[in-house]
Amino acid sequence: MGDCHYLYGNVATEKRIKFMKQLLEFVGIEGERLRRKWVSSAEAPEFVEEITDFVNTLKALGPSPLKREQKPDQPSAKVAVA
Amino acid sequence: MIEKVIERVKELLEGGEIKGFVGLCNKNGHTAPYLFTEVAELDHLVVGDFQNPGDARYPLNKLLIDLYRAYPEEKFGVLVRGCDERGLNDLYVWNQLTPKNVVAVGIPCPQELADACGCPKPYPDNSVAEPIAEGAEAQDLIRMEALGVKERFTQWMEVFSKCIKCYGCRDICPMCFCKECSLELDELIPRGEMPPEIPIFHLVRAVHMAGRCIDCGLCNEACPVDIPLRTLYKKVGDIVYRKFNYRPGFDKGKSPLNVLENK
Amino acid sequence: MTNSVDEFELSDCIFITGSNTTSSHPIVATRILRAKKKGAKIIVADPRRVHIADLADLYVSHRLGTDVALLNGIMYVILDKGWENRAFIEERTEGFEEFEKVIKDYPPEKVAEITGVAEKDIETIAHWYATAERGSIAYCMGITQHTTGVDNVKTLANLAMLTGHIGREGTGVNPLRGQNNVQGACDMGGLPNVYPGYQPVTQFQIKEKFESAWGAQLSDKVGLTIPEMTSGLLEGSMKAVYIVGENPLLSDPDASHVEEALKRAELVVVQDIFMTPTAELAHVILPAACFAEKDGTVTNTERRVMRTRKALDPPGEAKTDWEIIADLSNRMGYPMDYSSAEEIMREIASLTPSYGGITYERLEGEGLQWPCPTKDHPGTRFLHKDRFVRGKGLFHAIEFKPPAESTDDEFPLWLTTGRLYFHFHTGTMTRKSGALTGEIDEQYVELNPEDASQLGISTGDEILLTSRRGQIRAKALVTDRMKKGEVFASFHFVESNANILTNPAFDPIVKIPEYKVCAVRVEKAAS
Ligand code: SF4
Ligand code: SF4
Repeated sequence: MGDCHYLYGNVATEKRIKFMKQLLEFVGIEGERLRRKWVSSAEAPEFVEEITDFVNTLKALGPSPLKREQKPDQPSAKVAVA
Repeated sequence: MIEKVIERVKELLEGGEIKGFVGLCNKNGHTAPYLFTEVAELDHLVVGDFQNPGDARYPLNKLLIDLYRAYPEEKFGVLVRGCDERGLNDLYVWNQLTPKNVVAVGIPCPQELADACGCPKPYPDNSVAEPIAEGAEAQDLIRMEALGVKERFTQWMEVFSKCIKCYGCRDICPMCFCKECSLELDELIPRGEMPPEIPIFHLVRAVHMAGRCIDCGLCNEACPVDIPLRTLYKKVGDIVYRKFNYRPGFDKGKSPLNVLENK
Repeated sequence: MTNSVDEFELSDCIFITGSNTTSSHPIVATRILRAKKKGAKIIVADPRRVHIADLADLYVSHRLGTDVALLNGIMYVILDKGWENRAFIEERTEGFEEFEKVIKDYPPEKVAEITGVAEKDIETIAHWYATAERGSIAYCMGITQHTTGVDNVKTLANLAMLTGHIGREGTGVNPLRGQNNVQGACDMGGLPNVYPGYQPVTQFQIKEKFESAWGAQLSDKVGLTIPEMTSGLLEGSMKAVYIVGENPLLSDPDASHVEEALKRAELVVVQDIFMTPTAELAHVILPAACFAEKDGTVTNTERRVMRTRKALDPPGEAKTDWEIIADLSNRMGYPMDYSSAEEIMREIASLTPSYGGITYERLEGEGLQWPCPTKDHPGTRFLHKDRFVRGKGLFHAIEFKPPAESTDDEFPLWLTTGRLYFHFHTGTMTRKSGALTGEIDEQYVELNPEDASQLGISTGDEILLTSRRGQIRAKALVTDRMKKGEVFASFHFVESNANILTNPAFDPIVKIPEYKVCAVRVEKAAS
C-alpha cells in the first residue's frame, strides 16, 4: 500500500471500496458485486484467476437487481425527459 | 429561550464583537433566514418553531460560508442547534470557515424534535441554555437494517423512482460546498433526464457526503417527494464510524475519506 | 381548482389526466404521492407515459384526443354497475336523463376500440374512482388544449357529479394552473368577456358599476380572443397589438402565421422582462420588472391570493407593469394616479365580490383563498359545498368528436406537444439559466421504438418533422414513453419550434387551440 503509481490512489480506493460495499448492501445490492484486488501489470495469471473467480461469484449471484429494473424495450437513451 | 438568544446577540452586536448575526426572522407571517445587523431588528428574531419545534430550520451555516467568502475579515454570529454546531466544527476542518470569524449562539432542542431526528446529541456545547433532551436512537435506520437485502432494494428503488432531480437535497445541504458538483457530470449521471438515473444519482451524492454529513436532516425535509434521505445519510455516517472510527463534527481531525491530504 | 392542494392528501382515489404532475406541478405531486403512501389509488390516463404514470397504481394510455370517449366509457361502467351517487344526482344536479342517454352509447367494447385502452382497465378506473370515499380529479393542459377542450372539461365535471365527488374535502375537479398567476390574471378580467371576478361585460348593471367607479364610458361588447387577434391582424381589421408578458411567436400555434400577422401590424408593443423573439418584431419595447422587483399579489391554482414583496429595484429603465400601464393611460388622457399596488388592491376588493374581503393586512402569512366576500370571511378551501354557483349542477350530454385534423399517408403520425421538466414555456427565462441549459438545451422529438426502427431512426439522429403547416429539424429520442403512432415535441426551443407545426384549429367556445394533436411526418434528415 502507498507505493501506487498514482501516489495515494490505492489508499483512496481501498477506503472507498470499503465504504461502497456497505452502502450497496444497505440499498439492497449485494456487496460481492463490487470487488477490489491489487494486481500489477506483470501478473497476468493472477489477473485471469481473479476475473474468473469474480465471474463465478457473479454467476452464482444471478442477474443484478438493477438489470431487472430496466425495461427490455427501453433503449439506452441519452435523455428520457418527462 | 428566545429571550436568552436575543440577549446574547444584543450583547455581541452592541459590543461590536460581530458585524452581523445570521439567524431566523419572523416577518409578514413567514420565517426565513436573515442577517441581523441592528439591535432594533432583534424583535423579529426567532429560533424556528413555526407550528412544531424546529420545523422552520434553514442551513444558516451555508449562508455564513457565503458571507465569509465575501467578507473574509469580518466576524459574524450564527444561530446553531446541536447539528449546526457539528456542521461548524466540520466546516472549520474543511477550511470553509475559520473559528476566529464565527461566534456561535447555541440553543438546545426539545425531546420531541430530538426523537423525530433520531439525533445523538440534540444540544450544542456552546449554548445559551442547558440541554433539555437526551440523545435519541435512529429508529428508521434500525427498521431498514432489519429488512432483507431484496426488500431493501425494492423499497429504495421505489422511493428513488419518485425523484424529480430538483437538486433540493444538494442545494440545502450545509455541508455541500464544492464549486463543481459531481451530480452535474454528464459521464456519471446523464444530464437532461427526469427522473435521473437511479440509484446512481442518490449513491453518487451519498458517497460524496461520506465523512462530511453531520446528520442535520435538512435534505430529507427539502425533498419534495419525501424520499427518506436522512435514513440513507444516517447509514453513511454509520459506515464511516464503524469502518473508520470517525464522526464528522464530533471527532477532531480530517475525515479519513478526505484522501487529498490524508495520504 | 374546486379544492385545495393539500386536500389531495385526504383523497383515497386520485384520477390524473393530461397532467405531467411530478414534472409540471411537483408540489401538487408531493400531496398526491403522500395520499398514495396512505393507501390511496392513483390512476393516470395520458397518451404519453409521463413520470407520474410510473408511480401510479394504474396507468392507461389512450389515443390522443379520445378523452371524451374514455371518460364516457368509464361513466357507462359506473351506471351499468350502479356505482353512481343517486342521492347527489337527485338533490344537486339536473340534465341527468339526457346525459344518461348519451352515455348508453359508450360501452367498454366500443370505447376500447376508440381509445386503445383495455376494457378491464376502463372497468377498474370506474370501480376505484366511483367507489372511493373521496375521489379527486386532477387535470391540466392535456385536457384543455384541444378543439374539444370544453367538452373534455365538462365531461370530467359529469364524472365528478355522477359519483358525488365534489363539494367535499378531498374531492373535486382540479385544473392545475400552469403559471404562478394565471388564475390571478383570469380573476382580474384578463379575458375578452369579463371584468374582474368573472363579471360579464355584456351585463348592463355590471357595466354601469364599472363605469361609475372608473368615471368612463365602457363597451358592452365582448373583445377578441388570441386567434381572432391573429386573424384580425392578417385581414387588416386590427392594426395594433400590445403584448404583455407573452411570446406568441413561440407559444401560439402555427407560428409562421403569427409571425406574418405581427409583421403586418402597424404597431407592435411588447412589455417583457427579457428580449424575446416576439419583442424582436416590436416597434416599441417596454422593459418590465420581474417578480422580485415589485410588490403585489399572485393568485395560485387553489385560488389563494398571496403577497409578493419587492426585494430589489428594477434594473435600468424597467418599471412594474402597473406603473407602465398607468403611465401610458395618463399620457393617453385618462388619469390613473395610483400610488401603490396596495391602493389598486383596495379598488379590486371594492369592485370584485369574490375578492371583497381581501386586504394586504389579511394577506400576511399564508394568504387567503377566494371567494372571500367580506372582511370577516375566512376564505374558501373548497367550492360547491352545498350548492353550485348556478344552483344545480348541470350534466352535459357530450358525444366524442375526433381531433380536427386526421392522419393520412402523407402525415401518418400524431404529434402532441408539451413542456420538459427543465424548461418553462418558451424558454425566455429558463434558457438564460446555465443550470437548466446544462441539463438540456435542444429539441428532442420523442418517438416509439417501433416507429423509429421502421423509419431507420435512432436516438440522437437528426430528423425532420413536418406537418401541413411547416417543418422543423430536431434530434430524435427513441423511448417507450411514446406509444406507436404518436410523437412528442416541446415548445421551448425557438430554433426548432414545435408550434410551427401545431394546428391553429380551436375550441368553438373558449378558442383554445389544439396544441395537443396534429398530424405529422417524421423522416431522417440528410446529414
Ligand atoms: S443530513 Fe443531508 S443536508 Fe444534512 S449534512 Fe447530511 S446530507 Fe447534508
Ligand atoms: S431533493 Fe429529493 S427529489 Fe430533489 S433531487 Fe434530491 S432526492 Fe431528488
